[in-house]
Amino acid sequence: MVRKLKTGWAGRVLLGMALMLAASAVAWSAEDKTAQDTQLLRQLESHWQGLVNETNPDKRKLLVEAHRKMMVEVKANQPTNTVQPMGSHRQDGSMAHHRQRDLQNTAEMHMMLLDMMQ
Amino acid sequence: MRKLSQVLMLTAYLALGTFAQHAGAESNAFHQESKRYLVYLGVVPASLLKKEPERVDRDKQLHGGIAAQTPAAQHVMVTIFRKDGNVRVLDATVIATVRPGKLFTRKAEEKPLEKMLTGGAVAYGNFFDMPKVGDYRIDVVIYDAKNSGSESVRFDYTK
Repeated sequence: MVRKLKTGWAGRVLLGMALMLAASAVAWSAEDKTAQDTQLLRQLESHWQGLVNETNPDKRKLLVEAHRKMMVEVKANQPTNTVQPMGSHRQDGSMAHHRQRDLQNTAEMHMMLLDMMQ
Repeated sequence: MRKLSQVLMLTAYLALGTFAQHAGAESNAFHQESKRYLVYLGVVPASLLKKEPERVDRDKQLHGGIAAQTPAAQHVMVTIFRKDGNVRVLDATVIATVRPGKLFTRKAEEKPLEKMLTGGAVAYGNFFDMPKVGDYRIDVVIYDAKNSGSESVRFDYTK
């Protein structure tokens, strides 16, 4: 009986630890994705500025192709459902959602501008 | 002695302020938000445009078309979304003011950003002369038919 109680207590502790680990892994994953999206957004904007300021037409053509590839990557990395999931009101989840939205809207803006440059 | 230290402190403060302003100017922010809207900015030299910007009513070129633009002309375009649900705003009246530098004393150019279709999506744009390399301030005011009043955002753009 004593042994059973101990196992139960230990089991609960282990379960608690596992839950805590899982929760921090989810939080870390959301944070990591936000950092990735922030970096990608900065790269996209900086690359775009380089493309627009490039005076050599051949180099610009290469930059346009590279930019298209970046935008395909952005699109591929975005979740198909952009609606904020329930329970994502936490700061990290909300931040991740905002970053994804900004990335998606910026990529779309660049697509429109490239369309005009074709 | 005390006066000297005060002068030195003031000099250091001014130097730091100038550096901070310069450092900030080097990074463009292409998206801003107001209370209700998310606004994304795109600026392209008119000389790089091949396709005429198409107005939504399709009966007229946007401000005389690309050929009528000066070599310094830049096409300034924004896309606007409602924060609530990230829904594109299709029926706003948008006014932009572009001024060189960050001082209010410089000459500003104010124009409506016309509703246009690009790649099947609605944006708002117009041509502005931005002859010099350097900092520009772009103020965008949004009048949405669905809401009373207006909201504005400001972009610091470095050409």
